[in-house]
Amino acid sequence: MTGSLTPRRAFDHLDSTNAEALRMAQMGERGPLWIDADRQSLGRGRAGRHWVSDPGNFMSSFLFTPSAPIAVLHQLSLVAGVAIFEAITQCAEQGRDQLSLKWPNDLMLGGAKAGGVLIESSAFAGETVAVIGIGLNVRTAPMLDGVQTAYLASALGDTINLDQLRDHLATTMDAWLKVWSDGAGFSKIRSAWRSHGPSIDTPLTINVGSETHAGQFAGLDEQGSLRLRTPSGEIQCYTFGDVSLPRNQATC
Amino acid sequence: MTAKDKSAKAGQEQQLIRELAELLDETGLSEIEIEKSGLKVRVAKNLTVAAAPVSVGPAPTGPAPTGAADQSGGGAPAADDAHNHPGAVKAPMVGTAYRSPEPSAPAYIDIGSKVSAGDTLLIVEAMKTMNQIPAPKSGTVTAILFENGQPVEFGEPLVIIE
Repeated sequence: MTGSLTPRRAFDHLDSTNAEALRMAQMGERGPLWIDADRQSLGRGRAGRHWVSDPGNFMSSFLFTPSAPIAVLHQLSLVAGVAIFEAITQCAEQGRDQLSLKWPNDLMLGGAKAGGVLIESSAFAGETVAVIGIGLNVRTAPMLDGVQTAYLASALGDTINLDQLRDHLATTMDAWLKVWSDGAGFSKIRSAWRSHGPSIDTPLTINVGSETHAGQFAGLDEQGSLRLRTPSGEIQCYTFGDVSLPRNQATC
Repeated sequence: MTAKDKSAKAGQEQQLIRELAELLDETGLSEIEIEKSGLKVRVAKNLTVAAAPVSVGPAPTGPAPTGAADQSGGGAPAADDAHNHPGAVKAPMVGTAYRSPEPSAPAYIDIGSKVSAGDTLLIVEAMKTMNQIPAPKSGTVTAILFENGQPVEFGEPLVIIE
């Protein structure tokens, strides 16, 4: 499948595909461009967390120059989640019903984390460049403290491979960015995310700094923030935080 | 400088500290630092963890609630003017503001840092999207109006560059 015309640059080894993308942007690159690595030594997650990058797994960043104002770039978080979910289900021979999205864009396989996204934006010479970094456990799952992890080939079929994933994801990313239309089509993104995310009333907790809030999933607000119904019935919205599903304790 | 001048200056400084202390209470911040025309004032209050529900930064440290003036000098803008200050850099979105790219890294800026237009001042995170906020102009950072890890509202002044 070669539906996307977006060019790619492949590296055997990088510190992190996001860091390389930002360096390229500093040198004038404006994308769209995919940056792939077979290995990363300093893969990054949210809040400085290390993303374990074992060979055989997917690690790529998509660099582009959105026209949208910076105030809506967080919507890309859901765009990326939907594109990833769709690409993987297209590649899977089986086990699609075990896949789901955890807010805002963790890919879950049977309740364990199989992929994550870190988006960074920065202005270069007055232009805002966005970098969507994606890590997917394809062949192996890292052992992490307090986080259940899974790898895609274990459930989706051993034929799933990186080249196929890259092709599918390039195509779905193009398609969903077009739907998003720099924010004008975000309601469609939210709808797609909802169909792959938890059901309404699913119990969950969200860790925000030193606090943990428990409640039930109550959908997404118009900006994609997580809506949580507390035990008292109050709705609270969160723009950041680590979501856990208490049933299996899977966390970001 | 006459005794009368010194007295007037001390009064101005006390008034400034009082205004900043009031602003601390109004905004819920734990620390405000401003610098202008040779006068540098930092007002801070000690908070317990329970008093900072969504902060992920280190516990603030500093002098007792009444604050302290480090050095004497000329006047300073009234703290309430931060919103209208021509050098104010405001939050372009709702999110969480960070002073450094990751917890272990040094802060992008401190009070007194010289910045060029386009330099990153801070990050505002929303939904795992880390937006680097650039300096709109060159100058010197004279105020940092947020705490690391603090939730910020759209349009909230975060940094002042003069």
